[in-house]
Formats: sequence, C-alpha cells, structure tokens
Amino acid sequence: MVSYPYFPGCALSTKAKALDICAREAMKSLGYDLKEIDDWTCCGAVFPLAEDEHIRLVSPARTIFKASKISDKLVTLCSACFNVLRRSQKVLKENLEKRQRVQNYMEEEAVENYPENLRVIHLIEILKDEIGFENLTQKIKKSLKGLKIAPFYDCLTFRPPKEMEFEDPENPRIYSNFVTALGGEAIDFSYRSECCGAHISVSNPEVSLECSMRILDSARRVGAEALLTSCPLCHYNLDARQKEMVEKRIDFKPMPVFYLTQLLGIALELPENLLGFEKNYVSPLPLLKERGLL
Amino acid sequence: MKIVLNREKLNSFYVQTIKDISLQKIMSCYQCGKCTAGCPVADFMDVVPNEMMRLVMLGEIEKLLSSKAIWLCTSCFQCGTRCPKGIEVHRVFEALRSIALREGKNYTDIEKLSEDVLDEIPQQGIIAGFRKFESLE
Ligand code: SF4
Ligand code: SF4
Ligand code: SF4
Ligand code: SF4
Repeated sequence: MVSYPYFPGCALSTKAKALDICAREAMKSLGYDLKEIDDWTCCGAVFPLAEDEHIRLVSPARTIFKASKISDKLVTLCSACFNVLRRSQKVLKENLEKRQRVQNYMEEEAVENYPENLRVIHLIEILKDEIGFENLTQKIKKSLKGLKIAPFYDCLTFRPPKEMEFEDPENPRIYSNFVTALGGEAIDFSYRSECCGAHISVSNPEVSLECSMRILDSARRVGAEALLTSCPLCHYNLDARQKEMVEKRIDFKPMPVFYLTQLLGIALELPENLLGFEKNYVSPLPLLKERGLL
Repeated sequence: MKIVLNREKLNSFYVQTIKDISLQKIMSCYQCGKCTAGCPVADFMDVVPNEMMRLVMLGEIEKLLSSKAIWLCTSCFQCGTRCPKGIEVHRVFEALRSIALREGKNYTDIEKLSEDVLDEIPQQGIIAGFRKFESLE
C-alpha cells in the first residue's frame, strides 16, 4: 500500500462528502492509502491575485509544510484546493522575497527550510501517471460500457496554465481518457471548459444559472447522458441548481452530474452506500439501473 | 462617451495602484477583443473586458469602480489564458475590485443572502463570494 498525505478541504468534509468518501475507498482498493493530514485548515479557497496580498498565502504554506514532513507529494481533489495549493507552491518556490514575507507571518514552521520539493498533485494524476489509465482498465471490475459521459473541464484545475502546469486548457483530454479507461463513452462538447459561474451564485445567482444551463444544454445536444466533474462548486451549480432550471424552462430535462470518484467507485464495484448518490440532486440511479450498472 | 485626456488622469494614484498590484503591462493591450470573446459573463457585463482594459489605459478608473462588471467576473482566468499579448486580464479585474473594497465599497450584502443558498453552496463558493465584502471594523 502506498501512502500519501491527503488534503480533503472543507467542502469535501461537509457538503461534498460523496467526492471524498469514494475517493478514499476507491484508492484503497487500488493500493493507495490517502492519509488525511493532521490539523489542517482551509486553504483559503481563492488564490490571492493581488500582488500585495501576502497573508492569504500563509494558510496554504502551512499545509505544504505539514505535508512535506510525511512525503514529497500532497494529494488534493477539490478543484479550488488544488488551484490554491498548486499555485501557492509555485510562487513560494520561485519567489524568494514573497516566501520570506510569508514565513515572517509564521511561527514554528518558519525556522525550517522551505519544502521546495513538495509537489501538489490532483488525485487524477495518480490514476493517470502512477497507475496509468491502461492499467486502470485492467483493474476495474465493471465496465461503464455504453454510458455516454460528458467530462466537464472546470476552470480551476486547468487555468491559468502557466501556473497550474497541468494540461492544455484549450484542448484538455484527461477526463475523456479517464472515462474511456473505465469503459464509458466520452462525449466532447463545445462548452466543456466554460466556467459554470462559480461563486457568483452568491451575489448574482441568475447569471451563474445561465452559465450552467448553457453547459448542460451543450452537452445534451451532442448526446451526453451525464456530466462528470471534480469540483464541488461546479457540482452545486450544475447539479443542485437544475431544480431552478426545470422551473425556468419547461423543455429542460435534468441530467445527472457525477463526481469523478463516483464513476471510479461504480467501476470498482464499491458498495452503493459509499457512492454518496443521495447527495446528487438529480439522481443517477435510474440511468445506472437501466444500464445494469447497479 | 466623451473622454478628456490629461496627464494627471493617466498617471493617477489609481492607475499606479492597478499597475502595482496587477503587475500587468496595461499599455501593451492592442484591443483585439479576445478576452471578451472568451469571457463567460461578458453578455451580462456593463463594461466588457477589452473595454475595461481601454478605460484603464485612458485613466477612466472611477467609471470602472462603479461598474457592475468587476463584480460579475468569476475569476475563471479565461481572458488571461487567451490574451495574445500575455496580459493577465483577470489580475486587472482583481486590482479594480481590491481598490473598491479597500475604499469600503462592498458589493456582497451578507444580510441579504438567503438561508437556502448558504445551506447548500460549498464553502469555497461562500468564501469566494464573501471576498466581495470587506469589513472595515
Ligand atoms: S478551497 Fe474549499 S474546500 Fe478547499 S479548503 Fe478551501 S474552502 Fe475548503
Ligand atoms: S467552473 Fe466554476 S466552480 Fe467550477 S472550477 Fe470553474 S470557477 Fe470553479
Ligand atoms: S485579449 Fe489582451 S490584447 Fe486583446 S483586448 Fe484583451 S487584453 Fe487586450
Ligand atoms: S476572469 Fe473574469 S473577466 Fe476574465 S474571462 Fe473570466 S469572468 Fe471574464
């Protein structure tokens, strides 16, 4: 069993539990122990874009220090945590002046050398680079054959590309390859990397509703039966808010939105109570039962 | 729209602050409009991203600080990813928001948020949304 420090983040510990539980269980059955780091705090949720906001880097820096005591990798899953931690590590690694300022705000950690070698990774990178999608196909117990899944490439995992150094956001393939590895049919659609409206659901919910509706419409037009995401906020906008879409437009047909770990869990035949479907607003159960996947 | 150009405006404290906290070369924007073309919320903005860049160049900062557009921006980083001149337009938006917030001009009114939204939306959304609110006390 390989063991990595794991940062679940606030959303995955509460409102997006489904994403977290299947992640731990599925990875366990693939030989990876995700060890939650002790006493973690919120990563800050937003990477500070203003050059003079140093204090917001303190929380990610603490997490990076903690993880570095256990391993040279830190595993994340929430798109926002991944974005904040990966970009923070890049800036703290490369910008010595900034690093010093941030360390000045810190206590016991500050005396130590900065853990430059720590890499913040997304769980999908373990599947792709360590296990390998081809091997994953060998390891799954049930193929998602015939399931037409449209992978949604959220903003925060892929952009800004120079800071995230993840995959080309203009032509991302990683989730399509993941779906294919599980035996499903990956559907590309034109709005696959458009923002769902993100946090403006707090201040301008009608605008983010439009953004999210465009994404779902675009996926449906090319034959998708369900969407895939790894971001709890996208999941809220694209799944929970379908309640309002149905009220707004009589021709709107609901579509289930899976977390990436839920699909992995189905393919690995995790028990249904670990898949967290009760947290999906649009239940995927009818679709899965129809295909004999549950 | 009538715009009067003068040196004070072009080198104002606001313009300097935007340059300092965004670190972007505002003057290199050649108005191709690619940032706006990719912006998911441009349809809803009163000042679209390339217009915003132009107004910063011309020193018309007050117009931007009172716009709705700076608050509609979701920080999706699409504009900055696509700009052929390598300008991180999203950082210019953030600089404008930061100036407004540091002057105490809040956008999010916490008291008006519904319980339903707060119950359901993940924390990252609430925190990001609340960054449009600066308590000065
Ligand atoms: S980004 Fe979110 S889920 Fe991640 S730690 Fe921060 S608030 Fe929490
Ligand atoms: S689509 Fe929206 S919620 Fe999802 S990562 Fe982008 S900004 Fe976040
Ligand atoms: S994409 Fe860049 S160069 Fe083009 S208008 Fe926008 S900021 Fe200016
Ligand atoms: S970061 Fe803001 S301005 Fe830029 S494309 Fe996204 S929403 Fe539009």
